[in-house]
Amino acid sequence: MVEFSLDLIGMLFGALLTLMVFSYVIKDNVLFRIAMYLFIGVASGYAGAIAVRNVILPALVDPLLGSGGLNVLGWEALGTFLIPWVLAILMTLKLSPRLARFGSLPIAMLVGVGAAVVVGGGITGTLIPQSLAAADSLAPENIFPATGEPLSIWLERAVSALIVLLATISTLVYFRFAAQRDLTGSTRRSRLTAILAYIGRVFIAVTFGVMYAGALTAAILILGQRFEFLRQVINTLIGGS
Amino acid sequence: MCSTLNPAEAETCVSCGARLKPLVAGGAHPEAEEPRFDDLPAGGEGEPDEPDDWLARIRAGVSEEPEPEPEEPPAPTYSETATGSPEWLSGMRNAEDPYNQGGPDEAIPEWMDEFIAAGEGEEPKSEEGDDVPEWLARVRARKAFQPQEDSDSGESVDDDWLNKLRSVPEPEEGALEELEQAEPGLEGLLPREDQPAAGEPPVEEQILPDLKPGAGQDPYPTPPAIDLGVLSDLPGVPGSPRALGSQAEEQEPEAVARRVSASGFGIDWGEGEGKPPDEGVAEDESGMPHVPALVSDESGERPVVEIDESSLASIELPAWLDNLTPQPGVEQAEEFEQEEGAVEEPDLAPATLPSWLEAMRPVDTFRSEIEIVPEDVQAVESVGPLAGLRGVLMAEPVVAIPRTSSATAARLEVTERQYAQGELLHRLIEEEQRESMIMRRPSRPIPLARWIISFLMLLAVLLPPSFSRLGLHGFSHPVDIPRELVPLQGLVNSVPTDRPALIVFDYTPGYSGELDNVAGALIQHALSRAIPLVTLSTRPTGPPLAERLLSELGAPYAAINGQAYLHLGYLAGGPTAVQLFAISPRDAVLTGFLVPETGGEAALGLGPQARAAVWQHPLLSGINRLSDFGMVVVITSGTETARNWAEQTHPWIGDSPLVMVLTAGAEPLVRPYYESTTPLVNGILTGLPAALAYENLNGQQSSAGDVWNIFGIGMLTVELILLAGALYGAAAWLLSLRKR
Repeated sequence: MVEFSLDLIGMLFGALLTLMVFSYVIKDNVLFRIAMYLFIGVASGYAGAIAVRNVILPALVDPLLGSGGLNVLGWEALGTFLIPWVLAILMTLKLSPRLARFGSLPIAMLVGVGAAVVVGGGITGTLIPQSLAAADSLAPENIFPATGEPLSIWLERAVSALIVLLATISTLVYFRFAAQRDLTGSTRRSRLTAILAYIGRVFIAVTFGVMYAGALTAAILILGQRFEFLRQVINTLIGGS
Repeated sequence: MCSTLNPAEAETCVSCGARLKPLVAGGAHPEAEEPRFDDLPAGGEGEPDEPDDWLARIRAGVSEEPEPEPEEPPAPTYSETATGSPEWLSGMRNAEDPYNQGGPDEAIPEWMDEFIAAGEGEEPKSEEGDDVPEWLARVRARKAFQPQEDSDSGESVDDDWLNKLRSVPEPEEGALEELEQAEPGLEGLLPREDQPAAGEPPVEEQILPDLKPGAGQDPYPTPPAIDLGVLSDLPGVPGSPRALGSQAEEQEPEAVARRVSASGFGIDWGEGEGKPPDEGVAEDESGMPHVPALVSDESGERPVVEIDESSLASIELPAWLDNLTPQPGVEQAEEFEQEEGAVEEPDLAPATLPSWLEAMRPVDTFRSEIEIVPEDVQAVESVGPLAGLRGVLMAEPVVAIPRTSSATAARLEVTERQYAQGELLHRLIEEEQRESMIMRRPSRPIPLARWIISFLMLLAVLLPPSFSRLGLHGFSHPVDIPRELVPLQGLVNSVPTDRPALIVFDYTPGYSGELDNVAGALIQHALSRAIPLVTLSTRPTGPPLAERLLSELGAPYAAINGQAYLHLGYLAGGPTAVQLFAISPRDAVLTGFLVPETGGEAALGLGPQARAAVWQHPLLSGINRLSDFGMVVVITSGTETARNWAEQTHPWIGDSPLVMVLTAGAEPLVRPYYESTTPLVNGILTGLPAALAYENLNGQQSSAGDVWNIFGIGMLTVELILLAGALYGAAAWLLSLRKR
């Protein structure tokens, strides 16, 4: 006899939602939409609850409640308590069309700080290191074989370095859209640029193909996992285990 | 005019019969004893009683010296105010003006009473005293022989403008009473109910009987100056001094007399001249047709009336009087059309203006063609040195005379293209206003290929659990170990067990089917080495996923929350929060998720103490920076999140390795960070095959083995479908080539 517990009810509810989503195979129907609305609503509500519990309460409310509010009067509270409160109040003014302009200050601060962090991280974490990596791949110690190194390893490393160099240059050339204008007025790339751009387009196509294959692989794996889950539910209902 | 030289005594041309000697208006015969200009001042060189001299000069075409302009005739001119003649008479309008063709014959205004009284009491004065001018004597003599019925023709002309005036809508009674009170002099002009009926005799016969010829009095009395009040300067009022005095100053006395007779208040001051201008050519005593000089009746030209605009601006007219004034834009246009239609079409081709000039002209403001009428139709000049000649050019060309824009000028001229565009716009607007019916799209049947693919995929994922029942072996686990797995294994093995490893769950529940299996291999390896685990997530849904996976994987290793692992919870703020966490984890994360208070029991953490207890947990005792963690593992499904962690943490991560657990789709963009000579990512684990290989490498029991067969047969099915589609496309292409 199957014992109905919260875990079993949750499992049954999950299986039901899975079937409702799979019903999209037939066509867009009410069951699929109900499942989608439910997922969106639950996710939003849960995110709101997490934000209140993990952000608002510890950052804004707990300092008021802790130590009877005396720690608010200190200088340390200026940066850790008062400024966040002011910014939060200004942000809530966005709800009023008349006072919305006052909410632009925290928005500007968020956008400015976020952009600075992302751009700075991109430069120091991606652009410079990747450029140096591409340049180091052509260093003599990487091109020429080391002492006692098998030829196959050196050949593999050399070919890899050449492929990296060719892929990097050709891909950058493909995104260089400058061209000369001929007598007829049409623009044409030079022969060398056209060849390199074509090679770069091949590398880009291969990259996107790999990404698509990986996404397809992940989708198939998720599909299999879902059907495995349905099988477990059926086994539980039938076998009680 | 044939230009044939004729003897000086000849009266008519021997060739064409045209009259060579001028005729004098008013019946003066060329052979009359008194010449036409006998009353000119003596200052002129030419003798006025010798008209043949100047006529001979004209015939000879001699124009050596311009003749001095004759001064204004002194005595008999009605334009001179010094003679005692009324000033308003000098300003009489031209008789040809259709709006001033005489005064009303039924309603004599009250102000005329004053005029009549003044006319009876005063005799017209002139410079010569009681001497009657010569021309007036001739007029009187001819009037004596003129039958009475001639005056009827003048009345009929007067009726024309009078009927127009009657047709004007009457003003309101209230306005009339106010006007009477304001302007007593206008009482006679206002319509009254007690006015004589249409069947009664003309009013001028009732109140002006003495002005009729044969009444024993001067039939042409010079009316005294009458104060017309507000109408004294009004040019539109018939007979007002302003309207009448503009032209008479420059015209000859007889011409003035004719126009006075035609435009007066029905007073028959001269028969013959009082004929309506529609008749075009009048006849003088000699029976010769004539027209007033410098005025073309056939063309319908109006004489230019010079109006003192400064005086007009000072006039304040009542509102009802504006309504009484004729509407020139409408009536003049109609009469123009009638007069122009009466002219016969000439035989000659009309002269046309060039197209560019046609385009510049205002619409319907003047005629673009100058009509040349036949010589027979042309009027004969009656006065002046060119009297008796046909085809005399007017003083002003037709096009130079300003005309008022007709009523048709207001009509919009639209071309066919403009009309079509307007119709199109009209239709578009109508269609916009029309309510569109809600059309229910018919449900399209699902393509057969979609059904087939769905069926095959469903069969593929349902079939593997039955492999054992069917006696089939499943897909073997991958034998080849990717080369990045060995360094990863060594990396995890090198992580100290006294320092917790940070595991970031940055994926949504949708990817848990893949990432739980992939990350499970690495987490199992860490749990097998008793490495404390601390979880974190930049997604709100991350902490529950972490708890579910760790509780599932930690069960074989007796790993429970609070002892083997701990959840820091949700890190809000995106890349900025990641950087802040890398710099100072304690400031970035203020509370945890399911942090156990005592023992291993998880608490909801609603109180401040409970939330603050996360950093007081023994697992996090030595953690102040990111580099204090023994290892950082990021489990993510997106390349953006992986790049953020790699970029924002590398300055503060120190010697702690950064490992990426990725989905298969995110690997191509993250791998460069791993394969770089100075890698930001120290280890990478991607996809289910790599996870199985890692488990095999570590000798662990495969947690992903359950879905391996499903994954394998699903991939095989997809490959077969792609192959079938490629073959179908190639076959279709070959068939199309064969058809060509």
